[in-house]
Parts: sequence; structure tokens; C-alpha cells
Amino acid sequence: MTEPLLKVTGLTVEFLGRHGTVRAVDDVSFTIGRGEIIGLVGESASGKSTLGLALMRMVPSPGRISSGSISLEGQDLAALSEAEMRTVRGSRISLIVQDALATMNPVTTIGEQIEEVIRDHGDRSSRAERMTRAATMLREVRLPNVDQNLRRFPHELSGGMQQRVAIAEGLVLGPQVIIADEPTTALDVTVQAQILSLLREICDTRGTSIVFVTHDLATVAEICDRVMVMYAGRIVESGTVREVFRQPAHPYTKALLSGLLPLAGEPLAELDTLSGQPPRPEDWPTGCRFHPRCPLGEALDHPEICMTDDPHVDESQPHWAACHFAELQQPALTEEVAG
Amino acid sequence: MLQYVIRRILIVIPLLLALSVLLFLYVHAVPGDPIAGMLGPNGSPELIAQIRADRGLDRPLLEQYADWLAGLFRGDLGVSLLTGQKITPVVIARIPATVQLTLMSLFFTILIGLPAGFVAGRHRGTWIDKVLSPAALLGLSMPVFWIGTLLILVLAVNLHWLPTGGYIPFTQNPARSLQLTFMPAFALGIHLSPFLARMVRATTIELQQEQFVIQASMKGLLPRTITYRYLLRNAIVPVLVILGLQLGTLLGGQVIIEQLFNWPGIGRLLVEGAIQRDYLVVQSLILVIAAVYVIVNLGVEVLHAWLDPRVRL
Ligand code: SF4
Repeated sequence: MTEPLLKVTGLTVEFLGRHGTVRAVDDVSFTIGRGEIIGLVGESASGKSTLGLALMRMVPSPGRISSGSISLEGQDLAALSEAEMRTVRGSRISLIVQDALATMNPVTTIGEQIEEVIRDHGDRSSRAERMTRAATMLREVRLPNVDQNLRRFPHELSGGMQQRVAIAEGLVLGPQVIIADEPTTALDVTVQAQILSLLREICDTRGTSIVFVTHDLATVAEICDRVMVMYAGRIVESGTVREVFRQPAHPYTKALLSGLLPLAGEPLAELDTLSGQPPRPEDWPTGCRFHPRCPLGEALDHPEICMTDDPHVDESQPHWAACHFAELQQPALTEEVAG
Repeated sequence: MLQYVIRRILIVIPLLLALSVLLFLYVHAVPGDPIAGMLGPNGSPELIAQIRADRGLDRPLLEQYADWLAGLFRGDLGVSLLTGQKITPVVIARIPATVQLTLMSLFFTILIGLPAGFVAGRHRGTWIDKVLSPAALLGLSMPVFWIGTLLILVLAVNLHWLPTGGYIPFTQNPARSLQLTFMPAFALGIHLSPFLARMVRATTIELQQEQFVIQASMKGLLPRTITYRYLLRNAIVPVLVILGLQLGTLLGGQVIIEQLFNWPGIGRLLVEGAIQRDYLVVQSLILVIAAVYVIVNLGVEVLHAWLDPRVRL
């Protein structure tokens, strides 16, 4: 592979709390190639959504990016001024979230919303031309009845149509990277599948890369090329979907894949192998952050090293896991999921 | 929409009817015979009785009420007890002055309240918010007659910039008319704007936490677009509703301000009627004012639906 499209190095996001600063994202590094879809999987408090926002430089206050770089085509976004960053957002890197309706101005029509994005990114053509451009984009995401829907208000469309509009809005300026944070979770299954295949198609035809933030492993298996598993602010395993699903090297990934850990919702009470909640950033344990819940650690009778030493990894490897005993992991029986 | 309006009007009619009964009873229960009061010590019992009969006051209350009500439906507000003149033309003659004052007051209310509240909300917690919020509280706690008196003292008595009061119809001399409207309208504006400013501030703060406003930054929209299209445009709707509700306060304030500035509007007519115990004038005027209030608020609701596409009437 040549120079990656997006190269994130040592990205750390800190939140200033009452009890000092906590790191929601801790020293994360990864790369994405052109046209690649990378899945970012983890539980609710894992920091995956914060990482997505950090790539946009939109970490909500009192959080901030305290160190690291986000290099998009060789340009470090973390070093840009806020005004420069504004021109990047929505045009070179855009965000699509779960609840499309909540992200749209309720008093402007679909057409105007997209037209505004085009205009504010320096398009000097006439309003009518920009509207045409918006309409073309909406056709590309296969919004039905574009001419009528252009003049409709967001709440007048169905959930699936709203999500298509949000995608069109994110894509209209041809960004290199899309961050999609649970973009299909709120939709019903049929629509979900349609939106996923639309994203996949866009990726293939336009060469857009997608960071797909989700808790849904089935979705990852369906559309992602690679997957990164996040736990307690860190990436604990990274590899191609095939490798990670067939041979998970980290006990956490393995637990996820065998369905031991429900990712959304409540953890199952009767679980004896993997009990407890994912830790909050303010009380991350020392050593390997997974050790209080780790079934492998337990099987090995709680090795000292798990509690004292951070597992370090060679991130240049195509498939790696942050575990002292990664080699001991047996291939998981997850053929069905990966297939 | 039309259906909704009709339904609302159908609800309003019994409401106004009930109010008319209350008003009628209340005004008639107030002690003091207006005719005796008018005639003063010269009023012999015979003269009083004769005038009472003239005005129909010796009839049973129910009959008087029915008469009054029937008149109202024809647009006839009855006759003044004191002068025997029809009230309707007198009221109509006062409408231009009142409308002019109302519009100018609203203008000043918005001119002061909207930007102040918006800026305070946009820069919440900064020095500008810390200056504006206590200022609004101060404004809220100042009675309108006090603001008016202060304005007269400063602008008219000390600086001689404006006359102390009076009214000239706009059609006669627009510039002079506006000049005379300035002080009373400004006083009402100062009186009403703090409440508006507080509501706008709260709305603006709330809006800024809305996902779609946050998302606007994610789309890389210009700060200008976010301010006008996302924040102000969405803040207009609550502003409108608040102004409609504040109309009651405004009309109440006008009663006082018209008195202070010698402004010949409906408010002053009401005060004159009350002082002279001309209770037919009082009861008719209050009912008219209530009807206006209700109609304006209905209008606001319709406008609300038009401005906010999510609202369907
Ligand atoms: S390092 Fe130890 S505690 Fe951490 S995942 Fe591996 S075995 Fe479990």
C-alpha cells in the first residue's frame, strides 16, 4: 500500500472532570486506505464515538485532543486553526450519525439544507445551480421523488429517506473520509440493509473511505474490510474482518464474538465468565485494562503481568492484539459470523 | 388549518360570553350610583330617577344584560351613562392612537429584547451575559409608570428633546406623530423587553445544545449561517408566542402609560370611564380588549404553524 489516506498517530482525548483529567481515547494509532471501510467496534463507554468525533475535531467540551496527529493526505488536521478546520468538515471529512432527523434544521427544506452546505464551502455558482447539484446528489443516494422531496421538510420524510438525505449531505462535496456513527441502528432491518449496501456502493464507486462506528458485529461482517476493536479508550485488536472474526487474538474480541458480551443494552446477569460493566475512563485499571473481566487471565490464574504491565503491540502488523498471551488464543468457532 | 381556526373560534365564543356575564355583574355590584355621582350635590332624587329611567337603568338586570349583549353582536357597545352618547364611535376614534402606540411598543420590545437575549444566550457565561442578565432583572423589576416618569424627567424636563406628552395623528404630521410616540412606546418597550430577552436567551441556549445545531458545525457551515439560519430562525417561533402572551401585559401597561403621556387611546378611555363610574363604558371596553387579546393569540398560533413546518393545525 502507498501512503495511507488517513493516518492517525498517538491520538489522545482528555476530558477535564472534577477529579482531574480522564482519557476517553488513549494513544490510538491506525491508518485507513482509500476506499476502505474500517469498522470501529466496542461497548458504550469504550471511546469509539469520541474517537469518531475527535477525527472531526469536534470533541464536545470539556474534552479536548491533548496529543497526537490526524494526517489526512499528509495534512495534519490536529494542527489546523478552527477556521481552517471548518473548511475541512463536511467537504473532506464528514460525519453521519444515527438519528438523521435530529441533525437537520427543522425549518429548512431538504434542498436548502444541502444547498447551504455547498454554498458555505465556497461554491460561487447560482442558487439554482447549487440546488441542481443537491438534486443530483439525492438521486445518487436513490432518494425517491427527488423533485418533490427537495421542497419537503425533514420531518416529512421516512426514517430511511432521512438517512439517505443525511448521507447525500455528507457526500455532496466528495469527502475522502466519512465517519459513520451507528448510521443504521435506528432503522428497521430492511432499510438497514439498503443503507448499508448504499454505503458500500459509494465507497466502491467514489473511492471514499468510511470509518464505521458500531456495536453491531453483524454489520461489520457485512460491509467492513478491516475491523478495530476498542476497549477502555484503546484499540485492543486490529485486523481484516476475516482474520479477526476467524481467529480473534484478544480475549475481549473473542468474548464479543461468542456473544458473551452484549454490546448495547444490559450485560447478562447470569454470565460467570465475563461479568461486570466496562469500566468508566475515570477508573481504568492498571496494567491490561481488561484484566478484571478477562476470562483468559482467569484461566491462567491471574498472571502478575496482566495487572502490572500494559501489553504493547506492533501496530505495523496487519493483525495484532494487545494481550500478553495473544498467541494462546484458539481459533474461535465463528465461521457463521464471518462467512 | 381553517378547520382548526373555526374550532378555536367556537371555543372562544362561550368564553367571551362567560366573561361578559362576569363583567356585567361585577360592574353592577360596584358600590356608588354613577348618576348620583355625576350630578353631585345638585342631584335631586327626582332628577336622578329620571336620568336612570332615560338610560334604562331601572329595568331588571337580566333585561339590561340581554340588551347589552344584543347590541354587542351588532357592534353596538351601548351608550355612555353620563353623556348618553353612543360608545362605539368614541372607541373607534381612539383606535388609531392605540394601534400606533401598540405597534411602536412592540417594535421597541423586539428591538431591545431580541438582540439582548440572543447575544446573552450565544455568549452564555461571558461578561456580556453577566452584564445583560442582571440588566434584564433590573428592567423586570421597574414599574412602567416609573420608567415613563424617568423618561419624561430626563428627555423632556432636563434635556428638552421631546415634549412631555400628547398626540398628533400620523396622517396629520407623520414626523411629529412619531416623535410623540417615542417616549410612551419606548417606556413600554423597556418594560416588556426584559421578559422577552430572558425567553430568547433560554431558547438560544437550548437551541445551541440541539443536535442539529451541533451538527451544523460538523457540516462545516459558516458561523453566519448557523447564527441566522439555525439559531435566529428557530428562535423566532417562541419569540412570537411570547409576544402574543405579552399582549396582555402590554395592554395593561398602556392604560398607565396613556395616562402618563396624555395619550388619547383606549386605555385612557377605560380609565376615564372607571373614574366617572361610567360602567357601561368600562364593561364594554374590557370585553373588547379581551376579544382582541384572544383573536391576536389565535393569529399568533396560525403564524406559528406557518413559521414552524412541524406544527400542523
Ligand atoms: S493481557 Fe492478560 S488480562 Fe489482558 S487480555 Fe491478555 S490475558 Fe487478559
